[in-house]
Amino acid sequence: MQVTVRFAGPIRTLAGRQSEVVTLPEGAVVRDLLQLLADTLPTPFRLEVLTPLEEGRAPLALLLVNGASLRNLHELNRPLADGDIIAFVPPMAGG
Amino acid sequence: MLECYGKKLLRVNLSTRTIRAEALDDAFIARWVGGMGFGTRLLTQEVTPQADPFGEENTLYLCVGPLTGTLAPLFAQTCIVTKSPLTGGIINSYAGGHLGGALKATGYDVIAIEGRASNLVYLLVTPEGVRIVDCPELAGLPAAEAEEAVKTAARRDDLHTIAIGLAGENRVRYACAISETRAFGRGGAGAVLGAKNLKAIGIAGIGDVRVADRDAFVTAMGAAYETLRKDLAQPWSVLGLFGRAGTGTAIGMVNERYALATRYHRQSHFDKAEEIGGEALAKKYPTRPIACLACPVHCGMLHPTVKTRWGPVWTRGPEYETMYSLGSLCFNDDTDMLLMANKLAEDYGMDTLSLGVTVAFAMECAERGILPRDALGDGIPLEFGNAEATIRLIHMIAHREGLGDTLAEGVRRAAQALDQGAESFALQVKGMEFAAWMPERMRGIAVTFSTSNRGACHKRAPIGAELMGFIPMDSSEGRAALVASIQDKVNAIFTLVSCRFLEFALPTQQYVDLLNAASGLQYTEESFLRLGEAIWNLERLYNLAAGISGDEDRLPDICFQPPPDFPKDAKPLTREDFATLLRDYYAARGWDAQGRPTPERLALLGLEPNPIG
Repeated sequence: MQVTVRFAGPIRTLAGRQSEVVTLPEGAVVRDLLQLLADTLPTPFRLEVLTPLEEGRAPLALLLVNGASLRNLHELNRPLADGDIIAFVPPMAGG
Repeated sequence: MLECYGKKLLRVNLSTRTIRAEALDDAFIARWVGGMGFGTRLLTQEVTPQADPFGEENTLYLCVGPLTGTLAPLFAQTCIVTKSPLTGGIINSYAGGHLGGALKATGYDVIAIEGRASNLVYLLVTPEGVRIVDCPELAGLPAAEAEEAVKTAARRDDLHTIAIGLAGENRVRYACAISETRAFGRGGAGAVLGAKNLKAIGIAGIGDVRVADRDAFVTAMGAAYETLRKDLAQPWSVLGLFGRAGTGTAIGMVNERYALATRYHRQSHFDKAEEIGGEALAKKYPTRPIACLACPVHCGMLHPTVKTRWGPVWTRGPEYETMYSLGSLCFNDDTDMLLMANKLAEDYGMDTLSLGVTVAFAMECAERGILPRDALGDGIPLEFGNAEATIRLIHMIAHREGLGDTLAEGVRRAAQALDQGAESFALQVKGMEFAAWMPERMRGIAVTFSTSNRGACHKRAPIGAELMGFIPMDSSEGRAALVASIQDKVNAIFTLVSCRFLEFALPTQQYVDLLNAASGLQYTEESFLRLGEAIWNLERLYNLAAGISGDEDRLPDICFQPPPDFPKDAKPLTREDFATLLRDYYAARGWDAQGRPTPERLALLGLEPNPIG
């Protein structure tokens, strides 16, 4: 299956790209995608985005699947589907 | 006690050209604290709810607070309270920069501007005295040029200014007042100044600000800086991101949450969002962050002298909200146009939010066949994504030329004039155009837009919590009560005239510590928040008396027609949801079923049963 990964705002600089189409085996979960990105994207992205995310450290960049944020680390085991859009976005406050 | 106040109000009547200083009594100061509190109490006592916002009977109050002019961080703003020509209700509006410090140093906590001058004038408040100066030569000048002219004539390097542009003079209902690189944006304060024939205000002071308990104040101030320092040191601090790329850094995040109003709410995601965002502008154009007085955040992004096809541009901004209103909402991805539109809005003096929504409304009307596509003339089609159309419309509105005359009235009045069902999709509440958020996607925004005393304003909403997923954005549970509590809190901190962004980092108790140390007052967190609630109720009672009933706590029909690109598991706002939210909100406020404050609630807040007038 293929999913699209998008990087928002300042995270684009860390990832060195705007978006990427990633091919994953059927049955892959969010954690599999993160592992693949950790292996292929620049080190700053891994250190400043992926590692804090995996360790549940705040404040952190958010991971969205089809516009919805993951609510807890357990959701890293959420299965992905063909055509899903995964986005890494910076945090937001206030209003 | 109350050492941090000048304890004086300067009352200027432009009709009679009389100027007098009045004492503010201690009980008034202790009760209403400053800024929004002062302005709201004064207006609701002195300006009849039936007043014509453009009439001599309207008054504009320029207010500072107890912490203005101190080195406490992020208290640089000045507050305007007046009766809005856009909503007909009470409006409070803020600008940062350096004006507040100058006003504080004059020893006046409030300047009340009454009446109407017979010809164009400016007001000068300096240590040499207060003067009303005739200025026919400034008519029609861009705000920045008028400010420069006043500074030059006054021969003072320390003069800080407010001015209006042509839009204010022409009473465009959403004309704003410009203060150097900042703007009193929402609600039409610039049009009120225009109706008063007051082109500009220049203020310089030489007084110090004293505090009640110096040691306690230094401690509280140090704690506030430490809180900010820790926040800014985080790699993903929102304030830190604002300091690097301005408020426009947020656009990618909002876009990926499918909450970026695009092409007049027909889309919630804009493919070109990142191209008009803060990072993109900082990369593409010369950019220099600038700060207000005593602010380590420096969120203002100055773009000095950019060449565009419409000519050179020197502008601060655009802010996030402008990227929405003149960007995604109009389906514009042309950054040169965004910078030029931002500059024109500064020159003419127009709120970019209301302006952009009005431009987009015209484009939507053309798409629906309500307006002809050639309404702009010069072969420029009125259509989404057309940069030339946007620039042309801005000029037409400021000059009140052709279609611009109708649009200068704001989308509610324009929709009424155009008829043909346009009211159902006019993006406004109580006459004020939508800020950059989608009620159909975010329940907190649905409550905030519909119940705000300013109209469709986003200043008191759980935006961060909903976007970050701390609370689900499409759940109504507890949302109305949460919004009410945020409204109270933000009102309370606006009595101190704090920048809205400080609240991203600073706990309420730290505001209270600063206030008490500076003033000698003994507020608690509870009584401070209760003050915010009292102000909210006072505004509400004033609006009710002005004829803005609970029936106007509603959203236009278009908010119940979700865009097709919403995520498939999103739960768009329904009319049932909205009815529940509004019922919950009135209950949380202790109001009756028609949205009227009850005598019991008013008594709890220390307000008399009929506090207006």
